[in-house]
Amino acid sequence: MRLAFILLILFFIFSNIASAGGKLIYAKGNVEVLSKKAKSKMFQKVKKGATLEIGDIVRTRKGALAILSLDGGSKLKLNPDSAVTIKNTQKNNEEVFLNKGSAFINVLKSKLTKDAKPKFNLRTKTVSMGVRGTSFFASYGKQQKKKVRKDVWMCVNEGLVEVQNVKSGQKVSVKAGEGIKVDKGDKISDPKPLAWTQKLNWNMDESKGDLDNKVSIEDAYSDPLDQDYD
Amino acid sequence: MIKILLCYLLITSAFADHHIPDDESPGTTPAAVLRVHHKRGNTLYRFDYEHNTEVVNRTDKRYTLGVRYRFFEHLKAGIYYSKRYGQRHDEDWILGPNPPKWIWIDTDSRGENFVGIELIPRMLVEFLPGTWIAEFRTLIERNFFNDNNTIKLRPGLTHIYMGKSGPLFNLFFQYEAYIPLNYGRETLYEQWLYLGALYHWSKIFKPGVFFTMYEKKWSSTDAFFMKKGEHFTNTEKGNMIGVSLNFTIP
Repeated sequence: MRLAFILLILFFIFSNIASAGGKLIYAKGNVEVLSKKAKSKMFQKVKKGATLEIGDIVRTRKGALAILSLDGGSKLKLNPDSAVTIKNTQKNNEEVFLNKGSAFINVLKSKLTKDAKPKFNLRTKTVSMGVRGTSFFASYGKQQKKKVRKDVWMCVNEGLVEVQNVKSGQKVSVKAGEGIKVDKGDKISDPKPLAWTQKLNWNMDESKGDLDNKVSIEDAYSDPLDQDYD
Repeated sequence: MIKILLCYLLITSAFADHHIPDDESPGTTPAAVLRVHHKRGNTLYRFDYEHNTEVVNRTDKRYTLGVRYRFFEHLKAGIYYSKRYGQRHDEDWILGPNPPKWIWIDTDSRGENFVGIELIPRMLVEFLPGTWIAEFRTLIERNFFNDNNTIKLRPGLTHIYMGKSGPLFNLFFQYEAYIPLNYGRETLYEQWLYLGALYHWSKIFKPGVFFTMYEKKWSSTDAFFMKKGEHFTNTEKGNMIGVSLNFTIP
């Protein structure tokens, strides 16, 4: 009896740990969650303070903004018209899937050895971004043609991000101040400073000012050959 | 009576002998350009208004509506219609009635219709530091007033200086040559050299300044030759300093 009770307690503890995801610490506008456990399989509107679990899909509608605090210690700011799936939130092994739109990620700093594996992974349909540092921005870009994957953009504010193409295995390390483009979700460009990322709003602390990001991914596509001045 | 007649003949012959226009060099005159562009995908819709003061008492005014399409990354093509006032042509050098002297017709209020097509290949000049764009614009233009057809060739180089958050200003250099296809007696009818700068105030508004040097050749027509039995070609040279106001409607 006692054993059964202990097993029950342990089961309760581990099931909570296993499913624990994080918390919604800021919500503006229409922020919705599709819970993995919910029977209805429909997105439900949520407010600040809502608990998130592994497997949940968090979605922001047009004009909305959400900041997630994951149990592993990292924070994620989800821009308008975006969605992420929380895959894993164990400390030193956090993983989030970017379904749509763009997000800022701020990874909890910790002491890392030289060969330490990335402690946070952001995945898209075509690339995996392993973070060994603190903050970066990732976004889906344009779908340049039908039946072709969308571009993926990423830039690093602090630390180092290792980007890997899940299909080809191509790996690129991106330092702070640099960014890359995954053209049509395929080839990863060489890292370089991207002018359009200079005005990204990295702030995730409501008390420190405005949280909204006003830079559009369209700015990334400013093509000098396409400009007509006369 | 004979003396009076001789004096009259002397006076009128003095006027009549001035049948070849003087070379004109009006110095540096003002110019202004207004451009309004709207882009939709690969298509650009444009409206331009140009106001140039060339020789004394002649103002060149141009209203242009056009559309351009980007066919390939390095190639655009377009078509345009232009209504122009104050144009001068070789046949505008006439013998006026009273007094009977050779003059240029005042064309400031004469509207002329032009239609043109343009081909604009462009490329990034990657061996130069920074952002440099080379372009070779080719235009074929028809003037429906006098059926003159002209080819205009315009190579140019533009440097875009990048600031922290995108383009800050442009510097450009262009040369334009007018080749008459069915008129004139010179291979090069006009030549223009442009130097200018454009400031990226915002995505919508970009003001600019430019300096232009130009040379035009005026030639005798067949009608003139039939009257005077000789041909001429004279040159008009000048400079312009201008401002441009460029708007891009989102």
